[in-house]
Amino acid sequence: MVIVAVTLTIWQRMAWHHNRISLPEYICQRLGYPVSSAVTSANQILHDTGLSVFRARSLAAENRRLRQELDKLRNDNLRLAEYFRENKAFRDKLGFELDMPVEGIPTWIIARTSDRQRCRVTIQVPENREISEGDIVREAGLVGRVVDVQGRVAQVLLIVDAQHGLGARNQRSGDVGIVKPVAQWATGWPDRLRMEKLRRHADVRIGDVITTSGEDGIYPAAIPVGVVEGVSTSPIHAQTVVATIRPFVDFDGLEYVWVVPLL
Amino acid sequence: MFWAYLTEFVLAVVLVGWQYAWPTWLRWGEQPPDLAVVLLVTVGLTRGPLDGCWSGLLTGLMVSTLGRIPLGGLFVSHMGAGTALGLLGRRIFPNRVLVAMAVTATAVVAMNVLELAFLPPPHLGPWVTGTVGQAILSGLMAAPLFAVLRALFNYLPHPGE
Repeated sequence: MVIVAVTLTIWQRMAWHHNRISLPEYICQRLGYPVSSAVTSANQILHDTGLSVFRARSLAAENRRLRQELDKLRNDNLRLAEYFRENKAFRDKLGFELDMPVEGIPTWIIARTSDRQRCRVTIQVPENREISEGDIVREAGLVGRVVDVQGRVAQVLLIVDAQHGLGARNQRSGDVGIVKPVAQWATGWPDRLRMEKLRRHADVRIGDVITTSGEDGIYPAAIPVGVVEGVSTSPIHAQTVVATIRPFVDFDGLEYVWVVPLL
Repeated sequence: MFWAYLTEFVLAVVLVGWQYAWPTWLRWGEQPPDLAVVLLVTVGLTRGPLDGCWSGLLTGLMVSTLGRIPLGGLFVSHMGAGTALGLLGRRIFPNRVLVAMAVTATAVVAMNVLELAFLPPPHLGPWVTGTVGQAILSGLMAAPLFAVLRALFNYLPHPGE
């Protein structure tokens, strides 16, 4: 058994070195993911049933409020569709091409890493939908990117991964930099981001919205990343600004995400 | 022996798959219960060191695959724990649920300490909180799982038969 263990370890190292997974890992994934998927479904049903039993009254009130909100949003949507049609007509007359919104694929998270660093989640794609490596994953903001696809199941590298970095832009001032995760001592998990490599005397203020810059060749531009909640000077160079960013995405409560194909 | 090994393989797949899909609102210190260790404790205490080592190999492989963690340290901790628990099973009361709960909680702490050498955490404070939380949750989960798994293993031929 020790020989088998050593062989598997070497096999894994060689496969990872070539950015692949070994055959035993592939088999284990094919067996393990359906279990995780089934457990997640069962958890969801139990959670929903529990909620409906213990919070029936508040759920009814919430349902009424959401219906009213839905009516309002439907009206807003109709108005926006009208604006869109008018805008398109104007652009057609002026000869401008229109950027069509890219349709995302709704997916749900079936497993997440629980060891030391929550850097990846496993998602399951609906039937008859395909995703590929490098696709962008979004929710309220940027979540990460697909790094490994096995049929309908894929692994997503989160932007709070310790080794992750992305090109970012301050939406208000246009200053660009690199966004990296930063661990909070209180939790130990990288639930905040830090924007570095900003130009000297960069104009960054608390409340500024940070988006992707598109200059890293990985993420397209203008995807919301987070909001600046602190600005300080670099400990290395006093004129260099470093911004702390709170991501738009709550990585703890993440259940469903959108996968946007990389064009 | 074939059916016993196959059963342990299926159990490793199911329990580790369950562990990784454990709901976030039921975690303690961000950690789910270590169901792989629950399996190791049950197999080790009821079936001996060889089966414990085999279960360690399987659970190590599953945890590595689903958690994207390098295999080396996991094999050392899981196979070592499985074998040690198998040897321990001959010296304590292996049929008592309370013993299984205590052994599971202790094994979780011991294995996390052992894995420190292979994968040091970025901060010690959260690691301690997570390890303690995981040990308590695992101990609690060991009670029903140990009873069910022990009953299941009673249907399988015992090692040496």
